[in-house]
Amino acid sequence: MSKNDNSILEEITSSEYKYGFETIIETDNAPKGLSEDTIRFISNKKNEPEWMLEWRLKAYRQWLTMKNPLWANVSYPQIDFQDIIYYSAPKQKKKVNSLDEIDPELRKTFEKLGISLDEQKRLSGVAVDAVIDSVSVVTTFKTKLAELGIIFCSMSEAVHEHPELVRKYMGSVVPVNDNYFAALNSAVFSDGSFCYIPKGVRCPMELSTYFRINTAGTGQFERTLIVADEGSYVSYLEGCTAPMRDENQLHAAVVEIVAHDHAEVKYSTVQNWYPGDKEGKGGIYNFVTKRGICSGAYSKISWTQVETGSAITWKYPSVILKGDHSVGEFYSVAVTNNRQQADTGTKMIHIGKHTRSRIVSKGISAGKSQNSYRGLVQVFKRAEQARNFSQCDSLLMGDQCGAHTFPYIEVNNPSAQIEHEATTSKIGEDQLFYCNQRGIDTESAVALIVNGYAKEVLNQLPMEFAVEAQKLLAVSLEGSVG
Amino acid sequence: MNLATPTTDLLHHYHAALLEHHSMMTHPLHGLSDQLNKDFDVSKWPTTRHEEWKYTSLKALSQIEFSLEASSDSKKLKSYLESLPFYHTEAHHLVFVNGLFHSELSRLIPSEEKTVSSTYVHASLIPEQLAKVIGISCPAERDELRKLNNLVLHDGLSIQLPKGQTATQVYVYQLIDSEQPFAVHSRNLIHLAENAECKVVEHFAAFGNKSHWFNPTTEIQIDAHARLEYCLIQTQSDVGFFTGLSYLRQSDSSQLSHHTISTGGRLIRNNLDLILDGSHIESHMNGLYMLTNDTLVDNHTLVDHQRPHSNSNEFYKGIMDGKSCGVFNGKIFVRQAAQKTNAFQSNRNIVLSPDASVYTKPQLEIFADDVKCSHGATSGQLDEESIFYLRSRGLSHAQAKALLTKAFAGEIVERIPQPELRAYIEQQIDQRF
Repeated sequence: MSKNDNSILEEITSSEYKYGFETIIETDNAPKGLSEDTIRFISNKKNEPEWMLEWRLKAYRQWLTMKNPLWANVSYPQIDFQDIIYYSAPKQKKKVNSLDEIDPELRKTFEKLGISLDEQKRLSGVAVDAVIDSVSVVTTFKTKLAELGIIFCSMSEAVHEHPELVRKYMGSVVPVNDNYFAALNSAVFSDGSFCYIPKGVRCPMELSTYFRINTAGTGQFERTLIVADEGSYVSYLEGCTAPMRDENQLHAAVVEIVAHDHAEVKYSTVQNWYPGDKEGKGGIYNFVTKRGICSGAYSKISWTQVETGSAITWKYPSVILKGDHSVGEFYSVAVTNNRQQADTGTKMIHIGKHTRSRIVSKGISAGKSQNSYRGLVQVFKRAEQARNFSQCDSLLMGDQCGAHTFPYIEVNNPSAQIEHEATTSKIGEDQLFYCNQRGIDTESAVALIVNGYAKEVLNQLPMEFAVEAQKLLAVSLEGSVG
Repeated sequence: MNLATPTTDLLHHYHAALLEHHSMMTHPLHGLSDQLNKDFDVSKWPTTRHEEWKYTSLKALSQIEFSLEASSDSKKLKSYLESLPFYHTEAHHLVFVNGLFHSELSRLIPSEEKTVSSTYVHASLIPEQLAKVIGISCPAERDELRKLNNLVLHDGLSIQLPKGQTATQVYVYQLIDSEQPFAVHSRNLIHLAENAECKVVEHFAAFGNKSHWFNPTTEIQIDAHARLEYCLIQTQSDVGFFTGLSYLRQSDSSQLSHHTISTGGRLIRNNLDLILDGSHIESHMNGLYMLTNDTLVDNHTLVDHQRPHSNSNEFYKGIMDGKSCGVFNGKIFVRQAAQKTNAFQSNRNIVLSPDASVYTKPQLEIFADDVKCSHGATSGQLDEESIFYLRSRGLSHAQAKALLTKAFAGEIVERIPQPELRAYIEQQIDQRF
């Protein structure tokens, strides 16, 4: 069995990244390096109003005074922030109304990823705001959403068309000086998605963006802002794949969510950026700040993530439970292989009374990777009857990898009920044996068990995404997972 | 040492006074303590900015002007000791007062003099034995507190058990009785050779309303097949500080049971480092902390599984009342070579008052795949339904609460083998609830 095991693990570690290809489109780049001039260039390129530029410059000045955080359980060479191109847009300024007008090269990319826009449009009814290197190329279903009063557009568009909303909410959940990478993002963010659901509206379709990092040496700095007004509901999907590259690429995104009274936001992510090759060369650095605030009573924010890519992942989708009876959820599957490093988890900040949160985190480490869970459950003094349940399990495949958990629990109210449990183990030999004796070979058995292990989280994904997530799990652990 | 801010000024003076004091005489452990790091640097004094001290501020401690002299009242000490149920048992009783061995109050078994005695006595009797143990905790010395201990090296317990020997039960009393604020930096050195066995109870207490500080370092080497049972009891008052490091290294097939009971003190910080440098080791660590008023208890434990087939089991429980704060940080490392490791950890807390708080951080770092590791942490209050049940049976609310709290604590207390000790701890719990 052990020999068989080894060969399976060998196969896992040697599987290559499937989505590694480069779309050849002419791009309009900013010069390399970061300075106030770069920021002015970006702002100018995007034709932004004065307040936006001021906001960016303020963030940049804050950033200059901050230090790169080193506490995460990851190691990587120092990032040279002067060696990054901060703005890169496909040279295609014409506005598009139908999919046929899109650059054919670009459309091929989507087809290779298995999400051709036509198909998406026809079959699933998902509105896709495709972001290829910083600028939204196409926004579909916009008219349909507009009828309901839902605003779903790129950030640059929102800055022009809904400045009052952007000014009110941008930076309200993740302040510009929140952390090093959030400050950097605030200064140079290129584009992203903006979403506003008006009072009492239930968004009839899943909103989705597809992020791609394309031009070599480009840092991509998206900024997403979702505002759900009283009694509204939205489910938002974010998925990522990036082409193969040798140079490390930096990705520092910020996602902000605001949920008012009785509003519910469901945010799902499938992340499959280039993880680097077997020796850990190349790959994306994924340093993301994601945070939501349940500002109103009975509001709910739910994060679901399937993380399979990136050389280094550093992200903690958090929920501030400010409104009474608000609910925060975090479901995560993080797979690391080869020399990937992931330090991911969540923060649940209980401020309001009767707030509830639930954390389910499943880590799978293989190859020579390091997978860490880092979470904080904080109960403020006035958070009467707060309730939290956390579960973080780790599955180890192979004896070269590591699994770590760093849960912080801070309770300042006696009525709070906090439970945390964590386990670490490998796939049980008795489980494999049971499958074998039922005629399932070891490889399929491993696949079965891993799928079952992640099921609790995968079940949380919207239908359209669940299939893709399962595919990604399969690709990431190819050789053992069918 | 240019960082002489007002908060560290007194520490700086204290250190300078200690240096001067020690330059005037030959230390009983001189020669043995040469390799210890004594370069105390006040600018590196731990603050809440350090991850290891995130919830535990030593600011209050650094603002106390500690004296180097202390006078004690033997009569008072004697009557206190007489009141302890276990003081009357047939065993070794080593009493240390203000950092020095008190021969009048102590009772030793003369035939075991070479195996169980005070560190200073063993230093002159069997220095080559002590040399094997002293300084083994150097790799774990993460802060300036240990360097102060290295410098002062007050007297403590020494057990040097040869192969296959079993020592009689040992009780150690570390007492502070002083008119002035006083600090004891005691050093315990324990070495159990193959197949040796012993049981130790170390009791900390202080008298008077002046601030006092225990800063002990305990170094323990447990060789193959040896068995150790160690119980730490901290019953200080609200002016007492405790910052200790217990460093234990275990070899193949050795067994350890370690208990830490904290029932009082303004600030208690226990560092327990357990290095499992062998296979088929079994280690149990239990802890019970119950505080009230404006106090803090901080248990930092580290279990380092370095080799395959070892088991560790950690169980800490806390009852926080008043404005007290309970901190638990349990690290478990499983090295790549440590396959087939079973490591379990559990931390449960009850918060009884709205002003009490609990900060817990269990931490697993695992580099081997064929292991079973788990941890659990909970924080909550007494179950309303259980209270209701007891009340329906005629108990008052206070009685019901007390009964449930005692039952909660009982799970740890019952693991202590000595009946006299259990009785004493139960009595402490009874007084509280």
